[in-house]
Amino acid sequence: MKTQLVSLALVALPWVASCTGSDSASPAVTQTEVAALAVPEQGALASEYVAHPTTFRLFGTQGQGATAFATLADTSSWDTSNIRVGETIGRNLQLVAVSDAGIELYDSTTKERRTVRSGEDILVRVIEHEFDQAAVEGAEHVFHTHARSLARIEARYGIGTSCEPVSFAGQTPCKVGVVSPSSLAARLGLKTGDLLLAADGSAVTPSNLHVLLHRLSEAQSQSLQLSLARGGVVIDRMYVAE
Amino acid sequence: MKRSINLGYLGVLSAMMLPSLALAADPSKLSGIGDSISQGWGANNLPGEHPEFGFGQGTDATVNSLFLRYKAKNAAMTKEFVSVSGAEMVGGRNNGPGQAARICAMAVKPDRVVIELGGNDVCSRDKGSSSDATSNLYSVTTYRNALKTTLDTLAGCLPSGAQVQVLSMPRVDYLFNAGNAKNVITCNLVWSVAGVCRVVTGESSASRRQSIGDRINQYNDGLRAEVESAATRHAGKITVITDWQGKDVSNSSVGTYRFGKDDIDGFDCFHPHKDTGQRKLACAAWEAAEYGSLANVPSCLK
Repeated sequence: MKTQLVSLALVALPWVASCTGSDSASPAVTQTEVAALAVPEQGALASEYVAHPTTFRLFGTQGQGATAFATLADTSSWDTSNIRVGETIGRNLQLVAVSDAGIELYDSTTKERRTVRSGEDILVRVIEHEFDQAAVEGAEHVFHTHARSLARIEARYGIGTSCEPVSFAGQTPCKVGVVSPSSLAARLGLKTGDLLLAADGSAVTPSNLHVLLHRLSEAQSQSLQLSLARGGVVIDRMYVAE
Repeated sequence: MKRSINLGYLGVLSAMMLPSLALAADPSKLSGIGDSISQGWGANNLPGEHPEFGFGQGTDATVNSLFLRYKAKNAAMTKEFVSVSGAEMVGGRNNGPGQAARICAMAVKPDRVVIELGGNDVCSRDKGSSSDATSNLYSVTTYRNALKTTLDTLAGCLPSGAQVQVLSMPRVDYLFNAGNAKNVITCNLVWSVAGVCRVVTGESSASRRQSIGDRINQYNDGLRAEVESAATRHAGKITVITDWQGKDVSNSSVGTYRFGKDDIDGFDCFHPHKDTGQRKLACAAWEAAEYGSLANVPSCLK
């Protein structure tokens, strides 16, 4: 979630984990809005979407042209994402321009263009599909998961990765291969190159990885502790079923 | 007459109370915003977090952490760190502003905060383009705005008189050099398998690694400017300080320290060892704060 520097436009970044309460939700998403989404979920009903008023701070931009990206922080949690031109915030806000001074956002549902300069805040209406909130990263490596949504994601996009054992520091962790966009593995925050050390204290293997991830999409799913190494640092991640 | 006597008595009493007031103003709680270095990751050559060996919150006598040094001044000193391995100043859920918000949520707010972040802002980025090794790194503006938000968040909740110290970002290219000096085969193998800071450890060009080091210097220049700006903005409420004195004097700050092979751990070759690197960071952070002197920082880092 923290850095999704993918090159394709049709990727919706899951935002606003802290805005899932009904108190903060905007009026219901209409079918007209759904029809105008920049990144719709194929065949989804309007009732599967929620909208949140969200304030973002533009920390800044980097680069020019196709490689340029902007770093935006949700001021309610300070969670950030890096987005490139063509990528979206939620399903409706598309980044259309990046310059040294700031960015331009286009809301596909209102047809409005908004500009924001580095260091400034902007209040926007973010529309998300339930899949975007299926596994939301909270503080200190805790993911809050929704089994029903994860099951639908798995059914539609598959588990989306595999792993192979490697030798590392006297252990045999399973190294994550390619992670398919939108897949269950992607939603659960796995990244290519992650070393999976243990799941609930047991070894992760190529043969049990799918079982472990699938477990989180089962109705009776409770929690899973996944120990992984990323960037040389071991992270004890907890998936907690909501 | 009686009135003047009383006033005189009060004056004497006030004078006698001054030392007590000074004591009451002594730091009473230390908190820390940071990453795996603050969490003492691998500091004893074993994988995982070992906060007892962290330069800020450690309880190990060899490290002689900031906490132990404050505790020597005030035995009632307490600590509550919110540092998280893998954290960045800018990115993710555990970034500087996010950790600052957690400090503000504490029941008892600290009056001393040390910030040690930045390594992951570089190490967690993908390698740059063929023409620019820094193309995927955050801009200095981005880094500064994240730090500004962190400091403003803290200023909004810390008690009057609190001090926030922002340590300069370590040069990860120097850590790369230290690992190669330690064991070129083992360290490079671990870096490759575990994906440790590939933006430098996976970079074969010395000039491209240098350009990343140059960007870190720019971050640290920006850090100092933001610290000075925050110090002015929040004058009378909190003090904001940093160890960064510029890039031109080697070993004058954490950001200019050229880590050696003995400073780093033997597990992933990229984290300070408790007996050396962590101990030096503790000494430098202490000397850069109110009881020390910036002039002594180089002697810490020998």
